[in-house]
Amino acid sequence: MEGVGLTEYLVVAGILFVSGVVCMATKRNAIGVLMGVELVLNGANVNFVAFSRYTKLGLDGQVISLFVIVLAAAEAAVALAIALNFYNNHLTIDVDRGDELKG
Amino acid sequence: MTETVMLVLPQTVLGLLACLFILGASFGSIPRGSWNSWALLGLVAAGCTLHFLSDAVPLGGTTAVAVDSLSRGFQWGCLIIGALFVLMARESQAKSETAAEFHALVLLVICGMMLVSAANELILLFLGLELVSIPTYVLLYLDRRDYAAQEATTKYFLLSILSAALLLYGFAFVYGLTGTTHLSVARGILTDAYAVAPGLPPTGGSVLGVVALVLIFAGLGFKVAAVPFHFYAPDVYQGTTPFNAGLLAVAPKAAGFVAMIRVLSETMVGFEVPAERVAIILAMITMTGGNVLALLQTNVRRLLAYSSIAHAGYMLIGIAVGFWEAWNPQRSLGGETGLPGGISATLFYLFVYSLASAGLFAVLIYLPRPGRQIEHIDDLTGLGRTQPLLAIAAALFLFSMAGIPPLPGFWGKLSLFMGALNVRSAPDTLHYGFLALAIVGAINAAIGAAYYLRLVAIMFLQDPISVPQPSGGKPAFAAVLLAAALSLALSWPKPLLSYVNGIGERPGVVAAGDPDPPVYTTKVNKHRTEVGSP
Amino acid sequence: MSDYLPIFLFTAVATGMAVSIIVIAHLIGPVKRTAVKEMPYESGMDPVHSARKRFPINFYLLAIEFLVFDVELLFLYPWAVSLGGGNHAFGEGHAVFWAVMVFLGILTVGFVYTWRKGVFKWN
Repeated sequence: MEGVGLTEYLVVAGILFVSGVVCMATKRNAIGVLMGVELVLNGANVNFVAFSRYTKLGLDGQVISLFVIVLAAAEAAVALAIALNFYNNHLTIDVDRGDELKG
Repeated sequence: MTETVMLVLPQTVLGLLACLFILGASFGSIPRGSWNSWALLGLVAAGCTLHFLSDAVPLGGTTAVAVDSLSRGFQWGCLIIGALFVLMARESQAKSETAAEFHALVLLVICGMMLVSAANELILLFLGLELVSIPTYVLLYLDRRDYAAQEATTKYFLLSILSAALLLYGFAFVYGLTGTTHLSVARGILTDAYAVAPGLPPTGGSVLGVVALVLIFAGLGFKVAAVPFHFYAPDVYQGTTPFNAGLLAVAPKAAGFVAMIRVLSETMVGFEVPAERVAIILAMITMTGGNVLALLQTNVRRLLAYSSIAHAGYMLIGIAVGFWEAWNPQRSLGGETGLPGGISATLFYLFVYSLASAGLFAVLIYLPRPGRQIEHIDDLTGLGRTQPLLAIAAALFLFSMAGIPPLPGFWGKLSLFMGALNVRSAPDTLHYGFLALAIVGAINAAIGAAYYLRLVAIMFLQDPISVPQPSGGKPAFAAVLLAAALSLALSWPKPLLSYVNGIGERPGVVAAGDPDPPVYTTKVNKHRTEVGSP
Repeated sequence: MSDYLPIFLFTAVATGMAVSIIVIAHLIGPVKRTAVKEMPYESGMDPVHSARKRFPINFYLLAIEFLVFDVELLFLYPWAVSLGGGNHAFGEGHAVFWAVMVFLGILTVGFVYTWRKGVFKWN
C-alpha cells in the first residue's frame, strides 16, 4: 500500500463524481438517476475521508461523511416515495414520460 | 455545548414545534383550523427567543454557530416573510387533511433558512440547506397530486439533489484546502496563507480553491436559480400551487444567497479574482436570460419564475462587487453616496424582493375562484375595476420589482448598480467587467419594466371579462396588505439601508489571530501546523 | 493559465476514465443471449411468475422505514464507542449522551407518525 497516496483517492473520487453526473444525465429511470446522485455524494465522501486521513486534519472529514451517508438515506427515502407516487400515476418511472410541462 | 444550543434557540423552537405538529397529526384530536394559529404563535415565540438572544449574547465568538449581525438580521427577515407565508395559507389549510404536516414542513423550511444564516461550519451549513430542500419536496407533493404537480416535484427533487451533491463536492475541496470545516478558522488560515504571498492582483491561489469555488457556485446556482442552472424553475412554478411557487421563489433563493455570502464572500480569502469573474458572468447571463424569457411568457406563474431568475441575476451583481471590495484596499463601500456595499446591497435587495414576491403570490392565492387557479395573464384582466385594493397592491409589488422610484425595489437596484459603478482602480480589465455589468443591469431593468408594466396595464386599462370570486380568504388578503404596507414603509429606505450597511461593515468572522480563541477553535488550530501552506 | 492546467488534466482524466469504462464494457463484454442468460437470476429458483406482479404497498413503506432506521446506526456506533472517553470537543459526557437522545427522540416522532398512520397494519 506504499504507493497509494492522496492523489489516487482524489482521482477515484473524481471518477465517481463524473460517473455519477454522466449517469444522471443519461439514465431515464428515476431510480437510475438516484443511483447517479449516490455516486456523486459518495465521490464527495471519498474526498472528505481521504483529506481527513492523508493530511492529518483530524476527524472532521470522517464525521462529515457520516452525516452525508445519513442524509443520502433520508433523501433516498423521500425519493422512493416520490418514485412510488410517480409510478402510480404514470405506470412508469421513466422520467422523460413526465412531459405535462414544457421545457 | 449548552452555549451552542443557546445560540440556535429560535431554530430549536421551530424544530421542536414541527415535531409536536407531527405528533399531533398522529393522534389527531386537534381541529384542523387551529394548526395555522399554532404555527403563527410558534413564529412569534421564535421571534421572542431571537430578541432575547440578541440581548443576552454579544456578537462575535467562533463556535459552530455564527453570532453576527448577518445572522441576526437574516433571521428576522426569515421570520417576517415566514409569517406572511403562514398567514396566506390559513384559509386553504383550514379544511385540509394534512394541515398539521403542512405547517410542520413550513416551519422546518423557515428553521432551515435560519440555520443556514447562522452556520459557521460546513456541516451545519449543508444540513441547513437540506432542511430547506427536503421539506420542500414533500410540500410540493402535499396539496396537488395531479400529473403536473408530480412532474414538478420529480424535476425539482432530482435537480435539487444534484445541486446538493455538487455543493458537497465543493465543500470537500474547501476542507482539503484549509483543513477545517470551521468557516471562520478557514478564513484565518487562508488569510495567513495569503499574507505570506501578497501582491495585487491576487493570483487565484491554488487549484483546489478554484475547483471548490466553481463547484460551490454551481451548487448554489441551482438554489438561487441562476442561468444556466435555472431550467427547472418555470416548470416547477407552473406545476405546483401558488403557495409552493411563492415559497420556492423565496426560501431556496434566500438560503442560497446567504450560503454564498458565508462560504464564498466571507471565507474564500485570496480567491476573489476568479470568484469575481464567475459572479460577473453568472450575473450577466442570469439577468439577461431571465428577463428576455419572461417577455415571452403568458402564464402568470411561469412569468414570475423567469422574473425571479432575473432578480437572482441582479443580486449576483452585489455578490460580485462584494468580492471586489474584499480584496481591494481602496474600497469605498459606497461611503460618500451613503449607499451600501455589495453584500449589503444584496441583502437589502433580497428582503425587498422577498417581500414583493410574497405579496404577489398572496394575490395569486387570494384571487382564484374555488377549484381553479390563475393561469393565463388574461385572468387578471380588469382587476383594477373589480378588486381595486388588491389591484393597487399588486401594482405596488410589480412596480417595486420593476424598480420604479420611490419604491424599495428602486433603492435596491440603485444600490446594486452604483456598487458596480463604484468599482474603480481595478488593476486589470476587470474594471470594464463591472462597468459592463452595470450597463447590462440597467438595460435589463428596462426590459423587466416592460413585462411588469404589461401586467399592470392588463389589470387597469382593460375591461374586466368576468367578476372574480376570490376564494383565498381574508387572511391571504391581509397578507397582501401587510406586504404592501411593509413595501411602502421601505420606500423610506434609510433605516434598513443603514442596518444592512452595518452588516457589510462588520463581517463578524473573527480572524485566526483571535487573542482568546474558544476551546473548539484551539482543537482545530492544533492541527494547523501540520497542514502545510495550501 | 498554467495555474489551471492541473484542473483540465484532472477533469480530462476523470471524464476519460468514466467514459472509457462504459465504452470498454460495451465493446469487450461478451454478449450471449441464451434463455438462461436472459433470466433475471441465473441461479437459484426458477421464477414462478412475472416480476411485474404487484405486491402490497406496505412492503414499500416498510422498506423506506427500514432504510431510515438502518442508517441511524451510523451515528449510534461512533457515539457508543466514544461515550466513555470523557474528553469531548463538545462538552461533558452527559451532554453528548443527551444530544443523541434528542436525535433518537426525533426519530421516534417519525416512527410514531408512521405507526399511527397505519403503515404497520397488515390486512
